[in-house]
Amino acid sequence: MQTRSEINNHAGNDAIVSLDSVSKWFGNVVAVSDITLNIGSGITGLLGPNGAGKTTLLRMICGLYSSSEGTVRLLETDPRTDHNVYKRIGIMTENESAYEFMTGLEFVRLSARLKDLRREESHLRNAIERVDMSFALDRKISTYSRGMRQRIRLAAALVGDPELLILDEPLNGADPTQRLRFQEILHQTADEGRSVIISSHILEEVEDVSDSVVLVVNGKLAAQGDFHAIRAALDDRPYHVKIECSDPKQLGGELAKQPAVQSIQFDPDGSIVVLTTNVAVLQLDLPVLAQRNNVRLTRIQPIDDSLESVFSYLVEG
Amino acid sequence: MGTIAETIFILALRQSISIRRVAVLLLLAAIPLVIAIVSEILNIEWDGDSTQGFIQRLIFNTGLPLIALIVAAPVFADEIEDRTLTNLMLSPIARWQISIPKMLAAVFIVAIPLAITTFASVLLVIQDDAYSAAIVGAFGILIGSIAFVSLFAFVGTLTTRAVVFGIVYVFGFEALISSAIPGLKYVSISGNTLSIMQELNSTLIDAPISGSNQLPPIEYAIIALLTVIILSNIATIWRLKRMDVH
Repeated sequence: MQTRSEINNHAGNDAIVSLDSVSKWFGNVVAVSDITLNIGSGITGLLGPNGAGKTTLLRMICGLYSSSEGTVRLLETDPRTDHNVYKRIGIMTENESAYEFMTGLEFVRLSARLKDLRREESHLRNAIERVDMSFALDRKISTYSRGMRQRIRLAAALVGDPELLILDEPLNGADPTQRLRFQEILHQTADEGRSVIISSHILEEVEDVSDSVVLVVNGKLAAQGDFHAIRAALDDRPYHVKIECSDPKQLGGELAKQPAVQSIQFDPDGSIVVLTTNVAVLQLDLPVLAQRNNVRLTRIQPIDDSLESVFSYLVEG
Repeated sequence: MGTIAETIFILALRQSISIRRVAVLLLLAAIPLVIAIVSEILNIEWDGDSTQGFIQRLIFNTGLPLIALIVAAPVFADEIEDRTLTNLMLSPIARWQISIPKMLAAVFIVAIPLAITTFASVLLVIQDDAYSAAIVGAFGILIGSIAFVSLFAFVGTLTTRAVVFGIVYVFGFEALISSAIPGLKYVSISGNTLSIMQELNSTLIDAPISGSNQLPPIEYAIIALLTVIILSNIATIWRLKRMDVH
């Protein structure tokens, strides 16, 4: 994992995105503060808690926002002035910004036409098949579920096989099956030699797809680097997990014997708060212990698993 | 495969044509024709002042800008509000390729129904040289539409409350103040449109309505309307280049 100063010194020649001392403020509110970073090829996860400035950063990278200070380069051009760069990029913004009166096919076709693609129909078919939306092509977007909207918007971004995909919180509203399919598409895209920047406020969402991660907290760059190094740092970190079950005393006693459990506390509301140094082992052990002791688990909640606390740990630790 | 301009023109047409908006549009456009037909059925004689009041105040000072407002103000304002503008702004096309087809689509929607009803109304109301007057009436709708649509579309890029601004402008300035205060016809889109029409057909736009101001001279009117049209469209393109798209 690189610290900010290391990143500043790491000027990549093959950077697909380059930010140099970029800031963005809206009135008195500073959304992004003095970020310098290079994003190379492959799949990069842009992570940060809600309100951290991820969307503002991505919108500046895409050219939707101007920067208040600093320069943004996307595929070696300024996206605010060189609109031809959008021929090489597929972008899916956070908002569900699809034309409600259109069918799915019309929406993807619009994207192809705006990119002035040759062999339009083959591009359309290819993009739509990749997101498994062939079955609902002729339905109006207004009748789509949230997950279907995300998929048809992804198809619109994929049309023309862009060399870079920029996806802002694409998994919002997706069910587990859709998430898996989505991850497959991202892997395929990377295997084809294309790059992806994907933002999320949920670490696990990008865990299986990202080669590297950019962490943003409070509008500032907290860290950037290999995902696995960051994950390893996270795994060493003690977690508090709150457990609600039918017999807290029985389960608490059993949990206390587990090597992964550091301490146990019984809350007045009848729940158990476990401090563990290995949350992965606890995840595996807990159902087994509950079943063995005939205890019914009703709720398991990591209580300090927010990205903000993770980032604080990483940055301060 | 259509050109990009054609694609955006058709997209803008589809965005503008909702059932409710079309109903309001047709209703407003039909008002002059309904009045003309009822007058014809009841054999009501039109004197000079009432004819001029009908054409100038009802159609050009109120009807045309109001319909242009309803259609043009949301052209960008709605897309900014529902965040669909990103689809166009993230496309490899120049900003004028977004704004000009959208403006033309709005002109098409405003001008077609109102030019038809104005043409028919003038045929019923004007007695002498009616056919020529009706053609000039329809032409006046076209040039007035281009100017009003250009202005309101630009305002729609500045604020999502463009309709509120437009209503104040239409009813306050175009319909009332520009007729009441001497000299303000020079800065009124309707006033300058009427001036061009008067030059083309003096039967249709005969003279100032009683209590109204003199229309601007034709040379001034042409320059003024061209200025509004060109500056509004340049400003829209500039705004699209500079704005942060949320």
